[in-house]
Amino acid sequence: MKRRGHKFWQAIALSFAAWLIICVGFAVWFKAQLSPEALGFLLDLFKDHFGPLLILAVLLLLVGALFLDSVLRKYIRPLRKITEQISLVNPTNPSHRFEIAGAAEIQQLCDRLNEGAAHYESLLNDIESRVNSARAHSEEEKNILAAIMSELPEGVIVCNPGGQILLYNNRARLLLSSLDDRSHEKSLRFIGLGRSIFEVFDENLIRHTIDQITAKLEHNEPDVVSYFVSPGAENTLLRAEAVPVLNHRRHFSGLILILSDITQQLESQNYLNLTLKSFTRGIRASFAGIRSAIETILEYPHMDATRLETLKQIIHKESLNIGEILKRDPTLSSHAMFNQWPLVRVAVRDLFEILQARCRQRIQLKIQMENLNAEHYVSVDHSSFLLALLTVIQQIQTTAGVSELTCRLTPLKRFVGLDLLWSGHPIKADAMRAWETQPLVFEKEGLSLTLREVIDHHHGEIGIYASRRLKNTFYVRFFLPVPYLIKPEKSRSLTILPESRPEFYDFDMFLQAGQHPEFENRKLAKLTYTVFDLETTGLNPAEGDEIISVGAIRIVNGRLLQNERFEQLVDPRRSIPWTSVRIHGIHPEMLVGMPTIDEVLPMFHDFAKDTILVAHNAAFDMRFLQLKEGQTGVRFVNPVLDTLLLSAVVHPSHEDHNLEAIAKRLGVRILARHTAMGDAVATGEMFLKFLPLLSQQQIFTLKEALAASRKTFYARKQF
Amino acid sequence: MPKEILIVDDEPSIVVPIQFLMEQQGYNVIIAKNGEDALDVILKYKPDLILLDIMLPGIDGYEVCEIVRLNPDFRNVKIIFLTAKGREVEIAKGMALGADAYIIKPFSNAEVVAKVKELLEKTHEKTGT
Repeated sequence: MKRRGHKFWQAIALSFAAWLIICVGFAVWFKAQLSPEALGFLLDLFKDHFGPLLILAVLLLLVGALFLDSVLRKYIRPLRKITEQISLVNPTNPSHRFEIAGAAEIQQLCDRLNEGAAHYESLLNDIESRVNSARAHSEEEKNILAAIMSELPEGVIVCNPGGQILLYNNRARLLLSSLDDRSHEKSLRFIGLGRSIFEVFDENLIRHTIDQITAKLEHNEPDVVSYFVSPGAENTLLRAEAVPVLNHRRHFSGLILILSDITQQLESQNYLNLTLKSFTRGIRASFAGIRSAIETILEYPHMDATRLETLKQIIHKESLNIGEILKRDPTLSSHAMFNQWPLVRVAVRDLFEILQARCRQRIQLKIQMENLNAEHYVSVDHSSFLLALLTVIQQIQTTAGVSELTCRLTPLKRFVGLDLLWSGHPIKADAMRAWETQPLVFEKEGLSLTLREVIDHHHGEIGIYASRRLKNTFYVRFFLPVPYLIKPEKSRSLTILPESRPEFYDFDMFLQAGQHPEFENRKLAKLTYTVFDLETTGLNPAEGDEIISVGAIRIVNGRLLQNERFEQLVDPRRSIPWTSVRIHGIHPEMLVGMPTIDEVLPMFHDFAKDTILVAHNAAFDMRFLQLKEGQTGVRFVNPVLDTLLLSAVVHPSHEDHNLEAIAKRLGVRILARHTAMGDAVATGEMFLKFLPLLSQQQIFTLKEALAASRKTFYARKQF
Repeated sequence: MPKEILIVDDEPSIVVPIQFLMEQQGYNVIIAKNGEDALDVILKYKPDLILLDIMLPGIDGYEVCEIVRLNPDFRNVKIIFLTAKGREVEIAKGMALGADAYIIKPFSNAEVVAKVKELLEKTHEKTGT
């Protein structure tokens, strides 16, 4: 656009120069034609009438300049605006109409263009309504699917092999992340489209699950589903059922995780286990007394009367005791609910190999293996059982002070003994009993279950022994039953993707594993953005103004994700000037009990991780964030795009680049102006409308957008 | 000299009939009501056989068994678990600790007597040869 402006002035300058050359040339030639007398006469004449002649020349120049200015204002500038706005109508806002001041011809041009635009708009609307009606049917199906998904009692997450989340339902979000649980920073996990599943689950766990599934697929096993248990939000325990998605060549191309909260089930199962155990043991003990006493009486009929009386009393007492125990029949209890925590068949060698790797990496403990062959299997929930093994290993390491351990497999009659051997100091049995009652913890991993609960769930036992063969050698043995080879009762059917695109959702991301290449050279439309806005107590962060509200929304693959929002009021720990309350409407009493900025910024930082930040007049917001770096320890190093600068890039001849003006130009409705969330949403919508306009100017990548923004910034600064 | 048998159980309903039974068989019987007492008695009298319950107040039967087996002086002491812990895995655990037999409550008197005799005769044979 600027190039055209230059050309206009170049033409003016050239014609002026040509005019000057002609005048000077004529004057030189004319002078040569004149006799000295005639020249003298002319010069005298010129001198005598210099004033009027000068006035005449100035007037002529003035008229010329006025004429040029009017041409510029009435024709040239309106034409430039028209050119700019045509691109506005075409991809962005078809309802935009040209209202440009200018000459009558320009007005006529605008009228014709408006007619064309109206026609274009009606055509577009027509096409859109046709497309919409054609799509209505599939939309309906899609909505039904979405409704079913959101109403499912189980959480569902679908991710690609790289771990990027492609789909999730509300239940999954509730099970996994809770913003309110501020006391436990670790439980703060964000789940969102395009985010990594590893933010939610331990990476090793998922990798191990995928390895297991891949192995099962290779062996053509009918049941390829794998299970694991992982902590959920607010101290819950989740059971995840991992179902693979295969492509048409039966290659692994994604994972469906079906999540359910088993905290309650576990509690009732533990209750049931305990009740059943004490029930059976109680009856056994009492019955033993009765039987032994009566057998004694029968065998020795001539015993003395006192002894006979004692034995009779025993029989009476214990039969009453059995009556009491039977009243507590555990099957009558409402807690009697069997668990949904299935065990999976795993090769012992696999289990030990994982153990070996983790111990080497995490606690620098060397593990040797002994007596392992590939044929020994156990039925375990691999994550909780591994954690149990690791917890015990770490206890052995710290209690006995060893740096090396041997894992041994001892086949017993109907059990498998998984032995952890060490030589050196013995560990007392009561130490082991203390471990059994503590929740499992290994490094940063942990479960709310105790070692005893996990062992009981596996129908196993644990004991500590001294080796009879080797001197000063001790071992902890996990007894596990040898798994029965029975077919699983229910198995989920395999999901195999058709060769063409699936029907309902956009699973294009299946094709791109979740790598993070250089942001800068990636297409703007393919990047993930966090569009945000801050409300503050005032305009001067350096003079003590504070953030009181943060609103943000995510853009993934060119879509503004209305459900993936970050909205948080902040206690500024200072008063709020009335002048600012009038703008944002946040009254001090609304901020009572809200978290402070050092709690909110780390959360927001996590929310915005690995994305490009977008804000309107970003310099203002970034300044606030930067000034808080020292206090919160959180640094925002994300690339930043400013919609104010982008607006100036795409519409250089407009002077107004405030939020309202841009929104009006682009046909964006701001639903809640001057709330952090409302402004962030509007900014996001504007940003998406800028993308096609930027590509018209050959700006496709983040690098190019940043460069153009910088250039505009300096250009604007100079004015 | 009559053989010494130690019964370790906190339940009189079990102790009384078993004690009578064993005395009728001609054994000397000592009683301990918990793990600590049992260990004291073992050190003092070095019994030939222990009838050991697992669920005891304080030190449990597993640990008593383990301590006894760690001491080479008591290598020949026979240990029979006499317990209501009847799950297979519990039996495996008990036997791995070095017990000689595992009797689950409820038991028949004849079963206990037979087991005790069998084990004590084995010792006799060993010491006799």
